[in-house]
Amino acid sequence: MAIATLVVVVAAGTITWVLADRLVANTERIADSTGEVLVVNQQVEASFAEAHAAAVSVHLAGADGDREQRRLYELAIERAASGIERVAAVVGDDPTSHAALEQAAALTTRYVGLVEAGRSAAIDGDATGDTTLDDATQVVRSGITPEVAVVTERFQANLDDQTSNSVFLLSFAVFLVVLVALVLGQLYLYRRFHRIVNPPLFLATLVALAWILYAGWAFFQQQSSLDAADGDAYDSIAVSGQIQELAFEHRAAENTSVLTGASGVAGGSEVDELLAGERGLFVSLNTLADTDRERAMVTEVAARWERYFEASGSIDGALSAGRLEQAEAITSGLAADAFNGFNASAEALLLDNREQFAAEVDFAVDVVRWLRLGAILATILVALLAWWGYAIRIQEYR
Amino acid sequence: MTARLSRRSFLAGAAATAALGLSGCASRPTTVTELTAGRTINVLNWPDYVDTNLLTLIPTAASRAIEYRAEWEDNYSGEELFGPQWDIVMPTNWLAAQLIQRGDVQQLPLELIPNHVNIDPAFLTNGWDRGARFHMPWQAGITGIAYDPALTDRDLSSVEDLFAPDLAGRVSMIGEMREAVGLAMIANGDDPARPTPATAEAGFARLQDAGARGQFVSWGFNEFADQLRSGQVAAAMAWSGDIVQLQAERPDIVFVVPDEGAIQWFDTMVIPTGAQSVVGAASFMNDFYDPQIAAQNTQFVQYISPVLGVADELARLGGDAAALAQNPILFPDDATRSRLFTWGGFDDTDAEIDLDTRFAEWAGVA
Repeated sequence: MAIATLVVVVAAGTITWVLADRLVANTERIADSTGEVLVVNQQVEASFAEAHAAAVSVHLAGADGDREQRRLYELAIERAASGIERVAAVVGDDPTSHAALEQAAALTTRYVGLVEAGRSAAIDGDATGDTTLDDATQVVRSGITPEVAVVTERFQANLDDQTSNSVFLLSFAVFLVVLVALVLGQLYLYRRFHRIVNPPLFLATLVALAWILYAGWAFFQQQSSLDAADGDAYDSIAVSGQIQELAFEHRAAENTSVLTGASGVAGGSEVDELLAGERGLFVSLNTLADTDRERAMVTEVAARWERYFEASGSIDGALSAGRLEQAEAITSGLAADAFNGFNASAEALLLDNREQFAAEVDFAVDVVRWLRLGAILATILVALLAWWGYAIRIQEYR
Repeated sequence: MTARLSRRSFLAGAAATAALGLSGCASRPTTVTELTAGRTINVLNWPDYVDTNLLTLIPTAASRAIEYRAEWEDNYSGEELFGPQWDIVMPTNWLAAQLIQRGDVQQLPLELIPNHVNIDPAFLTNGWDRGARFHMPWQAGITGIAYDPALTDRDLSSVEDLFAPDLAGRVSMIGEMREAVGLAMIANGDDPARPTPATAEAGFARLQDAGARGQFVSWGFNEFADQLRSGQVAAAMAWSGDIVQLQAERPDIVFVVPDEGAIQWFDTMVIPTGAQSVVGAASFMNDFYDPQIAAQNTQFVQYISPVLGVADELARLGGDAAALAQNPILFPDDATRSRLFTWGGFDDTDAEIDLDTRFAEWAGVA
């Protein structure tokens, strides 16, 4: 009986340790890699959106230049480039992601080159500068964004895998078996030797029970935190990313209109409907918001979008009336300001959600941090106490 | 550091505040209903930097006592006053950046500040607080060049004019490192919005060279207005708001944003970590971001308002207020705004503080 109990305890401890190790490792990977990749990727996309909006303003300013917009452009490109580097540093051993990031980095260099070439041409009064800037737009839209999306999709899948740790419930089942074994051992000793309670076995039972309670608490806390990180914070981050992507698309289309002098920003009203419509992304974002602060920030993002969209309408109006200079002035002035305001407020929301995501994941890591060591200690303690309990009986019997 | 004089030395009468009543103010924000009556809000600001009538007329004043102290004489001695005993403090942008970095200020309770949406987008893109989650700009100003055409015998339009031989010994300078060195950096073709120790040292060296040649008659803070008024100096590095005030008395004094650019700065509301009346502070901030209230305050302080809609409000009021709405110093056009640089700060804060200290000692303002 003693040996059988020990075998059960050691087997259960081993299974629990393996599961705990996997649980802790998954949670730490979310904190150190997956979560960081997903969040930074969204910031990379936002940075490109801001960079390009500023680049167009600088371009349209021509020889006069626009230092503030130039500064914003350079800072945004720096953030985007360092974001790509940061993601590359934490994606781990994933050749597909590394390849996508290398391509994104190479395209960033190409993008910067095109922006500079377009700007130089604009300063020289060369009309090809506009085409070059439009090429730069396409590099972001058709090149960099899809490459970043490749990484995002892969790590989104990783996140789903890493947050699904229900197999850890097996450790409760096996420790329940330990509990049963200990109770049966107690009953066996009672029937065989008429001792009502064997203290070491009783203690072993309490330790096993305490371990189950602790592991259960840690597991459910971890799951709850990861659910909040994934379901609240990250979903908001993802929707914010979609919003910024759509806004950037609109801004890019608007720039193309101004550069070509053609009125009618492609898909303008559709984008506005997707964002600000009754079933638009702002409504989704508001639904995902779990605090009054977050809801207030969503309201501000939506209001700043409306301001930008109104300025964008003025550009279209000027183009329709053939007032190209006015359209350019609004694009690089009022619309650029409004777009920067929208983008900065969206980024503030992103930062808030990033902090919430990080806090939830850090908490999840903290609560499971001691599970591996706890599994070993609980197993050893239960095994020693059980052995001691049986040893006392055996000694008495002899 | 010894105490420095304030940059905000307004003529007492500025005011004209007068005319504006608050009867037209926006209805009380719904969030104010969350306030508990009787809780005092402690506000620390620069001298003469608010229309004090507003402190009793804003909606928050109906439910809270506002303990307003105009004791922030400068960012150096002011920093020593900074602490959780205040609910709102208004350091200049570069100091606010340092306070945020050090964790000395807390996130704004944005759910209580719906008027946060009225922040001019130009103030949302600072790298140290993108989207303004920790601060709300109070007033902004431009450090450019003011001159008396009768004494210069020519128009001034370049930062180089501050260093021009024909003005040697007739130029007054402001002893704020980030503004003086920043202007010199602009003259050198460097970007004070993204300063490095090397470019800032080059700017400082340029000032030292000119100083050694006797270019500058004095270094100080708000003395330049009196010096221009009395004809002691022909030109001065100057703060825009002070010149707008001076122009009421001396309309011939000219303020220019140099062709190469000028320095923009702003003082900004922050809530110290550990502040006791955060809800009250939020309500106060929200009130001053109501365009009508902000317009009244702008009419008093005559600096650049960071609140959207202020120009429209001033125009709606007509008379002197409407004239202010047309003032290019208070409401710079896009072309001017594109030439304004806001000091960006060093990556290494200690290096910046070291340069600041050496500059202050050299300029004799320490």
